[in-house]
Amino acid sequence: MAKSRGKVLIVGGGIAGLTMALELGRRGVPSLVIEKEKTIGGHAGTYACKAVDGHCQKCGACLVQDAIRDIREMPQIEVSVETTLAGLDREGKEIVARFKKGEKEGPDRFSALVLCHGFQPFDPAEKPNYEYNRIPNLITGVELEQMMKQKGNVFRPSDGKPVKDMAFVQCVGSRNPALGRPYCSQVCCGYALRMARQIRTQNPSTSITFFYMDVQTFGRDFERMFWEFRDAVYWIREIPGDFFSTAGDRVGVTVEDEGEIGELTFDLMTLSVGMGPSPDQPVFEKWLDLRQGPERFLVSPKRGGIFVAGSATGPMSIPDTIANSRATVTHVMDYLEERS
Amino acid sequence: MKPLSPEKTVAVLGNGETARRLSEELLKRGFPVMLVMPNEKNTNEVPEGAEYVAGEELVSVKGQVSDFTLVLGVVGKREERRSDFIVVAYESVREPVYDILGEPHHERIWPLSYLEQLNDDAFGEKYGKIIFLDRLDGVNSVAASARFLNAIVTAQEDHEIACCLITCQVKVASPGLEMLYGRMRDGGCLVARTDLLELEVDAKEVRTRFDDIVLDDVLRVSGDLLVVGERERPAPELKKLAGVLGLETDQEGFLQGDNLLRVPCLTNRRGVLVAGGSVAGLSEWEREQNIPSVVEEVQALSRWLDEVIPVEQIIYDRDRCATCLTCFRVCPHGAILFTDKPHFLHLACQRCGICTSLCPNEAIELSGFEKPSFFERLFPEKIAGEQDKSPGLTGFVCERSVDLVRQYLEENDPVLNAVRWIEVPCAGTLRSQYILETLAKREGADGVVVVSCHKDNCRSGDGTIRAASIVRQVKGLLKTLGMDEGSVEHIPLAPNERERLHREVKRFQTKAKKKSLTERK
Repeated sequence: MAKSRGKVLIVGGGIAGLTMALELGRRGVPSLVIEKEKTIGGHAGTYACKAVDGHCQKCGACLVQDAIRDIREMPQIEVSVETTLAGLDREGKEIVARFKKGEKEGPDRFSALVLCHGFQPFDPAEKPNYEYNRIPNLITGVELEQMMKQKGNVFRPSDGKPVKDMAFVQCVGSRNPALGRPYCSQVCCGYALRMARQIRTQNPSTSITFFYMDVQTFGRDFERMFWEFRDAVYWIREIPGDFFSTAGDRVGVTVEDEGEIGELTFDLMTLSVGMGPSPDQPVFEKWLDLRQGPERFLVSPKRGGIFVAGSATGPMSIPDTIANSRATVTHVMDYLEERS
Repeated sequence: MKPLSPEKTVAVLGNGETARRLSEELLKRGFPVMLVMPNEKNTNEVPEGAEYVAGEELVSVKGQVSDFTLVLGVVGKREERRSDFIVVAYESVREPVYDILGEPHHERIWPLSYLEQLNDDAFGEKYGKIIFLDRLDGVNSVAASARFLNAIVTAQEDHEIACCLITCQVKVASPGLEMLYGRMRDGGCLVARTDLLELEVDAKEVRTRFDDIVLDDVLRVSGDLLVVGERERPAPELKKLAGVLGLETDQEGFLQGDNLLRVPCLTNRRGVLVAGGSVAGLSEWEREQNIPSVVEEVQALSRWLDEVIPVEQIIYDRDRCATCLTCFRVCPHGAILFTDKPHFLHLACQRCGICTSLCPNEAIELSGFEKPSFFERLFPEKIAGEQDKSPGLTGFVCERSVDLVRQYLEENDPVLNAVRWIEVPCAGTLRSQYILETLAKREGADGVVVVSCHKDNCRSGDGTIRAASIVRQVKGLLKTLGMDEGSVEHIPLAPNERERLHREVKRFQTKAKKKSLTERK
């Protein structure tokens, strides 16, 4: 194994980890990025471009591809996919990591460790009333992203037919203290509205309904986009409680209107799922004695050569993840400077 | 060329906290800082070690990253300073939204920042009930909501004041805000959502009446004080600075343009960065990321400057130059200086080639993309299945998306493989003449596709617009000549739209095939 003095270990090859590796690389600091999946890019790497009529909607999904390309051109960055950590130890100022799978069997020594293990999209099966596993045309926002990326349009999963009417249910697994998620996931309104706009532009006759509490617009240009698009959507200020499948595999929900219970059905329904801590988080907490913030994501300790960046520290959009990761690079560099 | 100084100076232009904090952070890491601040600022705020240039405005800036010359001055006095980098770090200004009240000034109406700065323990004894009025026009920001939530929780918990928040919406898309919102409601705050408000103020109290959108009912709320929100607007100095520095602005006048690729602190000019309230009305969380990311970029650029070997990016033919200033005017990166002739600043150039494509006399060329070699950049060199390449297509693809083409070619994809591809640094490099030549002379060019980035997603800002305009021009020409304008097409594409590239090229190919079959008949 190559001598790795001064090398930084980055856990996770999503946009946070890739940005971290690239920026360290720009400063001449070598790094090893380990990724448990087969490819780098993380969640955001599977998301669709949401441009409408050749006009960027600022979702940031393309930036992941830019990062993957730039990584290949930087010789001081080593990437190891299908690799996970088997253990971490400290020896003086060095971090000794043991790896599982892949060619990396370790142990190897590093000067600093940056956890960029990202988030876990909320699994709607956690809340039985969504009937997520039983209703064929009920999908998550992540699945819609992937459908838009692969096929460029929406189709019903049950029969592959075009979608005449569809609905988005917002705040699924967000803003819900009862679920242990007392936070806004910050991205769901953004991705749902951007995709809705794209779908409407491509299929002007498709009707789109939003079930929502509040529209959490944020980020560059989003406000304007929202006002331009607002009137093209039916807005229902309610999060439905009961979900069912009707004849012809339409997705039904019960809604309350002025005290009366009614039913609405759609060809396709998207649950705009929020972000939760990664399932890998507990083991890092245990190994490294890390602290959770009030929203249950990790707090970056910024000491002892251990750092946390990106959505491992809380829900954030792709551009915000890049900003956070780049800000963390400054702390990592300060540490490396002090250490030497 | 001037030898690069080991210690690189950063000129920080600002008027407050961001400029001061940023200067401290840069000084800590060994960068000499020149802090250019307006006169009225207290010099006590200047961090130790920073060179302080007070009360001067930036008249002009020459040069490029590593060697900017700033001309600073007030009437009758000019002085020149140099720096390696420039950071614009003006705070945004807060404008109370009195206009929605129709009742601008009254002692019972306070802007939110007045309350925030108030340091009065007995405050709760004077005011028992406060109405907080956020913006009602639907254009609300996380930063503004966060300020309201904090102010209300403080009023409730520290001063036992009964609060009511009237707003179009509460934004909670930032860490901790949802919980703060919960704490505010638990503290008894009435949150009312409306878009219209009737208001009466007299010496004794403030009375409001409005339709609550959520409750669908008319509510009347009165209080001792009305605290109104503020819009975050760009500092008035930014407009002039944008002009002097040649920076893109967004619709409101902040300095990053509406371009995704400038995240988090970049501008259209290399070595000119933006911080704090010059980027936008930032939330607290965004501010926390912003200063270290500016420091990070300064450090990374510094290292780049230490290692870069400046090469000529633009090849200039003085004999052809009509000194028309077109190149100087269109350069998106401030990389061209003009005296009696253009000077190309090679460290500032980002190789979009827009100047070369717009030069009316073809006096400049992008190095590596000179005219004779332009068409030699065809790949794949040998097209697989040469016999069925009719109708032949040529594709121009910009550097950012060329990887996608390469991936398909490596996979031997029949659709992409049947196209001759020409890599261009940016679709803005193209001239209509290249497309026409391809259509007219080149073997197997029944159609041309131009693949660029999406608008507001082009590193050079205008590359996409240029590509679209070139394609429009060619279509117009073809139409005039009685030829098929459909034989050239512009495909705006993001680098993550691999599948769409395939679909679009296939669609164009099918169309071209159909056409060539009809023509043969």
